[in-house]
Amino acid sequence: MALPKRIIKETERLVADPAPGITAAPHDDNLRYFDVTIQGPDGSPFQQGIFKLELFLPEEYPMAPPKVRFLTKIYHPNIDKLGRICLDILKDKWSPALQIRTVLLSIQALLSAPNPDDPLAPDVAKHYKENEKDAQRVSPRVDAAVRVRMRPSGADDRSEFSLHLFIETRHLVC
Amino acid sequence: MHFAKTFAEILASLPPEFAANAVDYRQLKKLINELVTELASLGLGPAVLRDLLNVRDQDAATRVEYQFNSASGHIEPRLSLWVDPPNAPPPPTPSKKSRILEIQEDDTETETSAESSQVSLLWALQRDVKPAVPAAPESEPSTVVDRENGRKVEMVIPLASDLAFFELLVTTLRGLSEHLVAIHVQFVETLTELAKTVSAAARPVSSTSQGFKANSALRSDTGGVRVNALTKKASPYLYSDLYSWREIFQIYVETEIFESVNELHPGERTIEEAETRLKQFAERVTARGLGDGRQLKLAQSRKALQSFLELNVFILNVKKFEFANAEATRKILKKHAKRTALPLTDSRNTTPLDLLPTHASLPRILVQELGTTLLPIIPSLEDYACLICTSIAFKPIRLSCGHLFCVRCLVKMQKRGNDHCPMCRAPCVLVADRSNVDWAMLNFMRDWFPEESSVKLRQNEKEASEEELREMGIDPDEKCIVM
Repeated sequence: MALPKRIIKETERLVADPAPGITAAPHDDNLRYFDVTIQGPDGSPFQQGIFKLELFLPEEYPMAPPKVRFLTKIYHPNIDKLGRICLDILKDKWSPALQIRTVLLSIQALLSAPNPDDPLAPDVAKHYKENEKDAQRVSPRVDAAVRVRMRPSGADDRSEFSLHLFIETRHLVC
Repeated sequence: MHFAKTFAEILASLPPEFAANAVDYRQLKKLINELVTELASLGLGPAVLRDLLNVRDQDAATRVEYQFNSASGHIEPRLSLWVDPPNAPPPPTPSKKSRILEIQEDDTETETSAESSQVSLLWALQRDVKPAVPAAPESEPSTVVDRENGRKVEMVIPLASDLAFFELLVTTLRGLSEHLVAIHVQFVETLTELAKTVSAAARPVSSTSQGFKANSALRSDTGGVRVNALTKKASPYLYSDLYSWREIFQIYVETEIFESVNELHPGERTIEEAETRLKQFAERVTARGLGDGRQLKLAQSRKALQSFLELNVFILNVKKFEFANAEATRKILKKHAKRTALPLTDSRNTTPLDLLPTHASLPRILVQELGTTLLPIIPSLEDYACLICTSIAFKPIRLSCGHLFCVRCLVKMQKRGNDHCPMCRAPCVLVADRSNVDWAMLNFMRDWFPEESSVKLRQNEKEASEEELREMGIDPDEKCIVM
């Protein structure tokens, strides 16, 4: 099936005029699959970090939301160990007027404003609720450690794996 | 050092009427030289002056203050010298620093000084028959203000060349802003004229038919889409350059000649960058065949394009001119401060630049005017695109919340049972029906985007029939279907 005009347009703009702190590049062999990086927002516990994500546009896009997952581990109450993100616009609050760009900006904003009341990682959320300062202090350390560990592994087999994961986790709701 | 040369070169590259209104850098430089000589003859070389100006202590024996007065609308630099009178105010020889110091040292001589400032002034004038500098008449009688109540005596030292320097600078800059205002008016006139030509050359072909209303008011035959007009495959764009002009303007907007709208580096471009981009724009237009009869069918269009390019070159020239003058002003004031040691910011923290009339950057205003007057003449597809599929929102459906989408996308949403408006989440998608077609918009799109709307209509029909087949369990991509 040919790639819809909308996806081509969105991709062009993402590459030519990226949002600050965000990059997204499609795979050559699958133009619906994007490698994404998000810089931790200034003033957040994730300030120095660069987080890798994968983004996939399902056949129904833009009627259905894109599937997004963190590849870099992150200590955040709304993101679980597998990198799945609890964000309403990625689930029931999706609107076809939203775009890849706006989704990624929302995720970047989620890093600045964790929401422990609607947790995906209950332990992290508990930590945040009981002692926010301490949880924030932990965040960068954990992230930094994970980043170092993840760097040497090959990217290709991981994306293969995650595509599977997408299909499997499709109906999971946080 | 070599700015004078660079400045002259920039001015030489601009049309002569610009150069006539430019800052006279050389003359200002000459006046600085005169001022330096003048100050030197007063014994106020840069080194001495700097030392005196640095005295901040109110009680110091001798200190100097440099101020700008702007009460009269002119900038009047004023150098005041404060000396400590021993007992009575000294009869200072106003224009000679060496003399003043002498007086200070020699207390006895000043004992005879007069009681009032009036007398002391007269006395001073009598003594000082030969002023050190052949100054302008109004500054010749150096004012001596004797503050009886204070302990200090203030003397104002006339600086004829300095006065002339600021007079020239201010007059030039005033003339300059007047010139820029005139330029602005002239620009707007040309622009309005050009806008008229373009709107005539790029009006929709359908405007020749009777049904056309400039802004596509509601038509009487709202019930039917004019399919017959759409499917007609004649060459209907023969008498309008609508599509060519749309492409020219699109290339123009994309080239972002004067200002970048890029999210990472937004803002005004440098002169060099703007110049390169303007060239790029011209090249792209030519490469697309839009510069000549191939795409621009009407002679008036070709002339208008020329005029459009000229307007842009003009903006670039204004940009260069403004920059060169600002740079000249900045440099000459810096030179002034450096050569004389008279500071740019005086003791009250005002700089002569604060006192000048300020105006917003003219090239920016011109670019904005071009963007608001000329470019909107031709509706841009982006403004009439459906937010969901990003192609033209045809047929346009206006939801009860007021948001507009194309019929195809809304049908898809309805089939998915999604009731929320993509823009405002109002629950109004499922109730939308035929009565939600925005006929005025539909006609407008047909007038201004005839090609796009007919393509979209065909696409919609194809997609709908394929979807229907799929719903019946038939794959429309299969080559042969046996029922």
